[in-house]
Amino acid sequence: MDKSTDSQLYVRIRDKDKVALEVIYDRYERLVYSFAYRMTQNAQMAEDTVQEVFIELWREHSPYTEDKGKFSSWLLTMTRNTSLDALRKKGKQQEVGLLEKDTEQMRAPIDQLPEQMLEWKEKGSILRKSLERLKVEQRTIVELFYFHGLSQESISTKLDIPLGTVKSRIRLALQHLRKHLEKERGISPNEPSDV
Amino acid sequence: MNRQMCDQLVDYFNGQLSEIDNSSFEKHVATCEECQIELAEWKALTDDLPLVSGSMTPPEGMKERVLNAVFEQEQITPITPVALKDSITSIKKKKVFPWLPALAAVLMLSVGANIFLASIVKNQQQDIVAQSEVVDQLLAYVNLSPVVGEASGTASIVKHGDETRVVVQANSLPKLSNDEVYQVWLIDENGPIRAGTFKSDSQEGAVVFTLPEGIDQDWTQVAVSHEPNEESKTPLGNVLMASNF
Repeated sequence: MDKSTDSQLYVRIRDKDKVALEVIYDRYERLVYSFAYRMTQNAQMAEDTVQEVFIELWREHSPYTEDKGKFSSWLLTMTRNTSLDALRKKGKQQEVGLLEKDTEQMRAPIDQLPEQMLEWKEKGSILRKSLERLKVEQRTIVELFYFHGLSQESISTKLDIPLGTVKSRIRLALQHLRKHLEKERGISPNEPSDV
Repeated sequence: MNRQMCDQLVDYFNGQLSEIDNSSFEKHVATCEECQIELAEWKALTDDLPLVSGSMTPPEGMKERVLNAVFEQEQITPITPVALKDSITSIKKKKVFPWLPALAAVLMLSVGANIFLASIVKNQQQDIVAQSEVVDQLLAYVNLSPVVGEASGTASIVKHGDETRVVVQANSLPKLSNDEVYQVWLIDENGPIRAGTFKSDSQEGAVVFTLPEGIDQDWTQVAVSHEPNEESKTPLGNVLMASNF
């Protein structure tokens, strides 16, 4: 397995090294696909999103630099934006159902998975537990805001709450999520968090 | 602090703002500490949220399909069915032709004039390929208004024998870097179609594109965008100038 860091591979991708792109693809295929599927809840749209993301990566339409944060976060932000674009184009943004609960879907033998998968799996599990601890209305607003990418106005209409309160409710839900995360990870709320 | 601007944070985060509102919001964030803190907090808090998706097994053969599509991009010529690379003219350090709009206006008024617009451009620009012996008909002429930045110009659609040509004149274009190009789009009810790509070292000039046969539908708009490279099949960069026909 290629031990190069993501940043090293990205530099090679910029030089049109197909092998480097394949290594990054293998490293992130599951994560990008799973997230795209979570966003679109449609296998074909998820695959199209994966394709679009890697085409963008290859063509450098949105160049990555280390000051943009971790490569994985940048790639996932691109995945989120691409999924939302696909949903908007198909007019499906309002149609995606609310997920009651996220479930672990690890199926492949562990030795076939990228190294980081264990770390992602652990973080994912903590996040799922933390999300479940949110009140239903807070979980719903996180869902509509983050996973459906809805506008402030659509959230206000969908939840029948005043437009002016949407932002503060999102903020509150995210803050509660952080508190639950900190509890799950067994650290005091005052300690710095990398989540 | 501008409360109205601060309230756009949700829509900014979700990419729901128009290009103009987006850039106004970014200007606002640069000076609003509260929004800077809030944005950083939201980004940090949502950074790992994708991980709740777990790890699904992708459909069989996805890797091959995706990588083929990615690398196929390399093979595709930068010309869509509408753009002919051979007819794209580079407009290096040429002067803008201030007489072009006036000429086009005259053409529009005088059916009998039948002057071939592009052939006159050719006289000024050695690298424009044109057949001056064919009589031309001006189908449309518009002033292009700035959308993002200060670029402006004119666009004409000229029937040249059996061919349809698009003549674009532009000035105050933004500078290009790396592979960036300007692209001309013709838009109808089905969306934009790429008419052609051009570069200019002097941020100004005129260019002529020949459209393939059968492409002379009723365009509703023309636009020029600033693209990351000549492969954009739909406008990905800023629209610099545009006009309705």
